[in-house]
Amino acid sequence: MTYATHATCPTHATCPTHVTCPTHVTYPTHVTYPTHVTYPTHVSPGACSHFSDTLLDEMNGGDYSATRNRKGRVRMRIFLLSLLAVVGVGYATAPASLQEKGGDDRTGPYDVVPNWPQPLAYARPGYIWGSTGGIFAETPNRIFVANRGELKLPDKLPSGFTGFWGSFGEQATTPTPEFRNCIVVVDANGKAVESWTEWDHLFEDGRGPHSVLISPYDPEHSVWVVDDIHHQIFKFSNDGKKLLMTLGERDEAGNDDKHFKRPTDIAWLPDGTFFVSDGYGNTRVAKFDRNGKFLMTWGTRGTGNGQFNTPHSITVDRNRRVYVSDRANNRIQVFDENGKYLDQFPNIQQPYHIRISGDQALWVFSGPLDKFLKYDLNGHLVYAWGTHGTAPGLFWSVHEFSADSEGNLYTAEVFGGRSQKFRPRPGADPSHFYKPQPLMPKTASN
Amino acid sequence: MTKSCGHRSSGALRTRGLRTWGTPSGVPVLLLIAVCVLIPSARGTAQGSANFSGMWKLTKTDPPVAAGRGGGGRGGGISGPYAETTFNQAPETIAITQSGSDVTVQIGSAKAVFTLDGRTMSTPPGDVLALKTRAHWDGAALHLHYKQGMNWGRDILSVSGGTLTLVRDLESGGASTTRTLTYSKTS
Repeated sequence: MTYATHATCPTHATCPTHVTCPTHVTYPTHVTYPTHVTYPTHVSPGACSHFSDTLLDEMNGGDYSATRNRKGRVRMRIFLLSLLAVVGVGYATAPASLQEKGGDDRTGPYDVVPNWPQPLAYARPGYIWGSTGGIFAETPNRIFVANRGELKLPDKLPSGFTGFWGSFGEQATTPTPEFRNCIVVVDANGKAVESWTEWDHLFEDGRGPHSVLISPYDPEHSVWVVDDIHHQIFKFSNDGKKLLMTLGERDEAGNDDKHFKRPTDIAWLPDGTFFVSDGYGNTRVAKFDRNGKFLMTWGTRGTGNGQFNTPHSITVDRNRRVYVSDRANNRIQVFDENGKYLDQFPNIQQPYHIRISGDQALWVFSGPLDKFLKYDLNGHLVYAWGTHGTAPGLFWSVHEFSADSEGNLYTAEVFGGRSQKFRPRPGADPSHFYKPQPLMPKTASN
Repeated sequence: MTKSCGHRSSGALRTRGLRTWGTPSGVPVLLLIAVCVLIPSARGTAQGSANFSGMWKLTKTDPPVAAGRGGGGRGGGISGPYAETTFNQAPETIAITQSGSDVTVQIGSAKAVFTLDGRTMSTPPGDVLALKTRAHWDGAALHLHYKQGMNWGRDILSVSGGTLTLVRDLESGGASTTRTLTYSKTS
């Protein structure tokens, strides 16, 4: 079987091993391909994508040769002849690249952008980017990177080093970083164009920023940074010159209206009300009004409905439902905006980061699987891609992802110690792209 | 942590250039000054009354320490002797020496000194892997903060008669543990 690099076989489907699938095909996600069926070898190109539901249903039914009836054979012949004609014309005119053999679909519907970001020019000589807690694309030319400090390279570089800590096999969270250049802005070419060094002291003696984000409803495009180890959340002006708000008390953990215990993520309602997942230490969601006034909280420790073990990420859909990554319970729970339990999606291995996309799908990054997972809002898996590794395009614990208005996807790896940029592959199924909630246009004053 | 007038800021929300921790408008300035003067002296009594000096023997650990590691967690190794003693076990005995200016905690051969002026101490200074310590009072309770490598701890100490209660938060990578250790005084 040959899968093209941009073809996608759904994770729950089993494709027949002797079928050669064409490079431009997207496999239907709702189909289970029977393994015991003998497919006519002369129809392989294009077959997977062009089977009608009826025909697929027939093939799903079990013993293909035994069950098909005369009517079915006639339909099959008509179908195959039509298919051959279509595919023949298609192949005769297809670019050579579409006919390539091999490939392993490692980057899903995207192509990785090489050499993005560039080495951190702001870093001291001998130091590199550290563990990357978060990433957020404000525009295609302004991408915030939450850098957990700089890491000092060994005097003798380990073999395999390709520019980031994880490339020689050690987690980027293992060495103790030096807290410089913790909030960096990178342009479309991967060049660091801003470093908010005046705020590096906030992260001193911690482990650096956990996540960085902008509310889609904020015309000021204020930048929020979560610092889990110091139990604080910061709101900065878009240019980084002002610290507008601080929530939580540095180094003082708690679970009241003024303290967090290692908060992790933020999600907003259109009026600016926001929710904080809190966190590694606490097991709750805290709700605040747009001015940072505490409103309410919900959640206790445990495995029941409305209980948590490491609420690690949070997101809100268009209907104001709140989705919480219940990381150590390997599930996502759904609540109304007042904390009433509504639903849960179980058996999702350690959802590190979750986001509702602009087209109202739930995108998840699973840490142990190193895989993107797309669900509908009822919790049904509809698509997945991603593979563990340190080669370009592979992942080692994506902790936050984001996308810009041009569809470029950005990932931040805590263990790999790098961020990556992916551009949509021409011809890929658009439903396989993560499309972020668009940001409100930025006001001129900021 | 920012303090005002010697007591903890009442609000977690602070806005740059705009005080949000609450001064009702119209309160006379003199009254504010008086509060600033009086509160520290009142608190000083409570702080001065707690003395943790002595040899202490562990009597209870809640919850129990799992075999192998107390604090646990992904994403960072143990980076020094003091972190070893706190993250890998509930120490059976601890020795505390308290003076007017600092508190020294000795656990086996590992030692940590906490000055009582709220400043962070680095041992050795300037080393990225140094043991960093900081202490402050919260009423009669003493907060001891320590950090070594990628491990962080906070002990809240309170004493009643011959019993020392130590609420210990350990943070390491993706792990967070809270445990209450109870010690009785042996000398």
